[in-house]
Amino acid sequence: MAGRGTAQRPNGAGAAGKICQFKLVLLGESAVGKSSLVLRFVKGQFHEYQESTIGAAFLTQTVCLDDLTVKFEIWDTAGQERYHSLAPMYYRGAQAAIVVYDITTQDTFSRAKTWVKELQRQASPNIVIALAGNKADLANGRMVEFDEAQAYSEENGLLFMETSAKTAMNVNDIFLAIAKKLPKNDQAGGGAVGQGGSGSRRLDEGGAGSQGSTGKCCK
Amino acid sequence: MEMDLTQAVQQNLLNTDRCLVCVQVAELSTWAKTSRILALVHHQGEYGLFIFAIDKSPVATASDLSLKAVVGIDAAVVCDVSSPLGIVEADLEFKIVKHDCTYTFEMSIGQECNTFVAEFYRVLQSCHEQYGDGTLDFSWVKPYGGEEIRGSSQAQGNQPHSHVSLSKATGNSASTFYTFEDNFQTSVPDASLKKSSALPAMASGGNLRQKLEREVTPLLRHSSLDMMGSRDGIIKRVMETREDEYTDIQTFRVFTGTWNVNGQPASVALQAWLAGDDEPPDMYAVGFQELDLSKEAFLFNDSPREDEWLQAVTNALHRGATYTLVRTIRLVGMMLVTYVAEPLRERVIEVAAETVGTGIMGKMGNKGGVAVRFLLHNTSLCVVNAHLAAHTDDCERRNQDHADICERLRFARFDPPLPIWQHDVVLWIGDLNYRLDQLAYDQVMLLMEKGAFAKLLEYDQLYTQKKKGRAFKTYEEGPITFRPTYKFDPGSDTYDTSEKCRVPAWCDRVLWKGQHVKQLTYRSHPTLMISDHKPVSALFDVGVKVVDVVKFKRVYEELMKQLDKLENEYLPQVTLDTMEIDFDRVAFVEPAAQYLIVANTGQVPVEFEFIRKPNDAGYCKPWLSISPYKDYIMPGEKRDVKLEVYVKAAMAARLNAGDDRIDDILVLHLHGGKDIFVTVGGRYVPSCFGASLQALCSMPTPLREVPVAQLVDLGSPETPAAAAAADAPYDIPKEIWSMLNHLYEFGVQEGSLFQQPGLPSEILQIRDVLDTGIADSLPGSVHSVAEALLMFLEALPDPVVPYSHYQQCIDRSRDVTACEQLVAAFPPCHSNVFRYLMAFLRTVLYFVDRNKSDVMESLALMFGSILLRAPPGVEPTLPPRMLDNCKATFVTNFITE
Repeated sequence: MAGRGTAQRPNGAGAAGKICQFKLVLLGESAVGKSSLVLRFVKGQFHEYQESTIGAAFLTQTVCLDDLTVKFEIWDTAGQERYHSLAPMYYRGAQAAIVVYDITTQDTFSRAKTWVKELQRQASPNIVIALAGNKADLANGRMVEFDEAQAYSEENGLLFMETSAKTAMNVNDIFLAIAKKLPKNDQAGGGAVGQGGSGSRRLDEGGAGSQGSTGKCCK
Repeated sequence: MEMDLTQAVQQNLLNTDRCLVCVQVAELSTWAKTSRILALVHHQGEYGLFIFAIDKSPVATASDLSLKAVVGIDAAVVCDVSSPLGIVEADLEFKIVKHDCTYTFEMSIGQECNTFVAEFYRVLQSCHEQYGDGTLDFSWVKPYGGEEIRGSSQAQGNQPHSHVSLSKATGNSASTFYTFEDNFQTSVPDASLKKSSALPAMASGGNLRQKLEREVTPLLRHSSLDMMGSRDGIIKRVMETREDEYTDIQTFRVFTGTWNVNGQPASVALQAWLAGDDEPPDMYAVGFQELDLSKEAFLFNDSPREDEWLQAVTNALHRGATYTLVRTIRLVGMMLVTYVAEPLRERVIEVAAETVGTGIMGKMGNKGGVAVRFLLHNTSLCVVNAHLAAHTDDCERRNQDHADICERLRFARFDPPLPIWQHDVVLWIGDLNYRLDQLAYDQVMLLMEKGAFAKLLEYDQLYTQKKKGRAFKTYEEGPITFRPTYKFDPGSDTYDTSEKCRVPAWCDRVLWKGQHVKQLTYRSHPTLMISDHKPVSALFDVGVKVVDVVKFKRVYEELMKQLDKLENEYLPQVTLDTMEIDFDRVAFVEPAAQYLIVANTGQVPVEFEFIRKPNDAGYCKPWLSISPYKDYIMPGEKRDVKLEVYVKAAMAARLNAGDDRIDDILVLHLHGGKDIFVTVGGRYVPSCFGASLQALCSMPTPLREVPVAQLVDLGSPETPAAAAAADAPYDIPKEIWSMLNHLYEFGVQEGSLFQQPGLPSEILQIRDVLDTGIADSLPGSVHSVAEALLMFLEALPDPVVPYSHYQQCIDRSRDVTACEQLVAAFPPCHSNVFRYLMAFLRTVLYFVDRNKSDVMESLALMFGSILLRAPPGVEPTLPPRMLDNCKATFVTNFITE
């Protein structure tokens, strides 16, 4: 490699895509699988006996779209009711939320609806909310009908998918769907940070390379 | 005023040398750390690492620095940067090895350090590429090694055998490690460092992870915003080094042409020169010299010829394709025009052009070079059109012009400005003016007629200079099979017949460097006769790196995954010994402590802090305190956090009433990472301290014997239990009676009652006796009982002067009669207690024998502030001092004889 050409890349080299950073929060009753979804998404792992989250776990994960890169700062919150009053600390300022319920327990779906209401009332108005009916692998014990949840999601303008952290079904998809739906301009909440830099040149840009946009937003 | 460091270094250098970048570091030796300035110095294409000692800090003038050593940078230099994990001050270790000398420096992370290291690697890499295994003699460094430096006193003593003195070094051309002073530690470089090779940046390629860690770790210690920035940089660098994995080589045809037109107007068609081949080229680079010999062109760089010739070129481009002008650039008579075929237009980006004059005074534009650079797909391409110094004897001048253009031509739109050699492909065309040496006109004509070009070429100055490495050392040139292109009688095909009878020469040339470049033709075009030069052209097939979008995406995503993984691994992590703290039994004014052990189980230092929850006033309830509530913990270390409960008088009533509980959720935040919730719990033991007068009057038994539910009911006036208590069995609470009785019996004769503090342990005992009725008499000293009484009054949920009457009592404190009436209007137990207390105070005063008025005043102030308390949330209407006076006056009304 060392002997390959004498060229050094100039700093002005464009990027394959810009990097936008977004804060995403997971909400839902305890034991519906919030942490498992995150673990599956971020590390590709699944633990049958996932420890209960006492606090708010933090991880980052990047999703590459065609023209840009979305970096999620994921806050995985504690589901237990006694921590309910602390939830605003995490959904405040979030650009995206995944509200999770367990398809085998009706109560968790009711709780999910309450979370959606709270988000609609208290969170930032542009927040992208996704509803995840988790544990889809346990369809035998299903207590929440797909159609019911979908109808509810449509009414409330939510993204909706049934997921399984165990089988990985729809896990990447739901994050990807959120990434695609997130507004990528500055007005929308300003999650994007910095100008993405990758080694590749911007293929679609003629003329001047180092464009002046060092601002916060994407495209 | 601190002087710019670069400036200070520069003033220590010769005029020919330039300090590119410098940084302050600490040199590490086995016995000491010494402050140094490292400077990367450039001298005509060669580089040296200059190590300065700081004689005076901060550096204010050039003389505050003295040169200690110079490491000439060539392929023998090995460098390694590492950062010891887990050190918060995030120092970077920068190690330089050359032959068997090692320098280790410590740099603190920051912009300067980043810039320096990046620049150093860039230089190191280019030296490796340019000089390969060859070593340089670094003769330019010699002037710095004056005797006075070597002869300085410090030179003596320290391990002289392990150093190369200046004279030795110069004598031995293999070693270019100049040491001017013998105060450096040298050692055999460790094997791992040597193995890791000279290009630690990315070159060894194998263990990407390790490298990322090395690079990412120090960056992660900064805030997340910095991290984003660094991440961008890392992505860029890694993607560059992995370019082979996502690009394919695709060949494009490039036409290059050069013509010295001798100031002639563009009066001829150029097709014979530019469009003579069957296939249209994908790109044109056409250079002219002496485009305009007018004074205006020279002095004002303004020429009507520019458009004329541009038009002529445009008209003569190959008909087989549509071309777009990429860029033209002109300096006086030198003009360069570049075109690409239409389909490539979108693939040409980052276009830039620059000029350098090397003519009169070393800067005028009659000689010099112009250049255009751009990216074609992923390959950076630079075309230089030069007109070097004329005359057969000025060969050295031409070499110098070439060196000057190489050094001075930098594309300024890049930061740092981009030099010519930093391009994948360089095409160098122009009237380079190199002549044939030693041959007379006739000899040349003879050899030429024989077609003995190879023989003639042996006398070609460019050929010989290049061979000697004096100019165009790294460039290639194809075999010349055309006749010399200079000098002709204008309008003819005849070599110079003038008086001067100049010897023919190959002034006009095309050279190149870079990979995947194949020359197809190298020709002159003798049919174009307007000038004294013939135009020359060279056709190339250039292999260009073209991004495979699918492969690119794969590599990019893989990198993202790696970075995410690292970033997540380097998030702060702690483990707590417990997340539930149970204080069990919590009692009034009885402190209790528990410890939380926070262990840093992650890989980076952790800064933790208990943070405030939404709608809360503090990060914990008022009865709790946390110490430390924020701190740093190094990886592998632990911190004991003390949580202490202490229920003071002001909090007791709410806890007694069940309005507050010993129950809190603490949010332990790790900066740049997650939050952990810690639950604090306990059982508050109700006490008569904090119970209402009403409730206490209605309780015939000690408080502990009353069921909690009833206790809560008694506390609030609206409940039936409270109504029943209206005909209370007692006029005043038995607890107050008990304390006052005790004081009356044992304390009133003690002159200093209420003027000495009690003992906390005794107060707790008094509290227990009052709450349980276990003893008939109160324990402890009278001072403890007196303090307990004050605490008791202070803890009352509704003070002795009820909140409802507070404002009136303040307003009418000077009116004795009104005060009497107000007290009479208190609820019975309140007025009873008030009168009882006043009677007691009068008794206390009766026994005071000296300074009676002083004592009265202090008692009035003390009791005033405890008996008269403003209702919660009510803003005081008077300044504190006046308010205190009113309260004292109110009390005084009742204790004056």
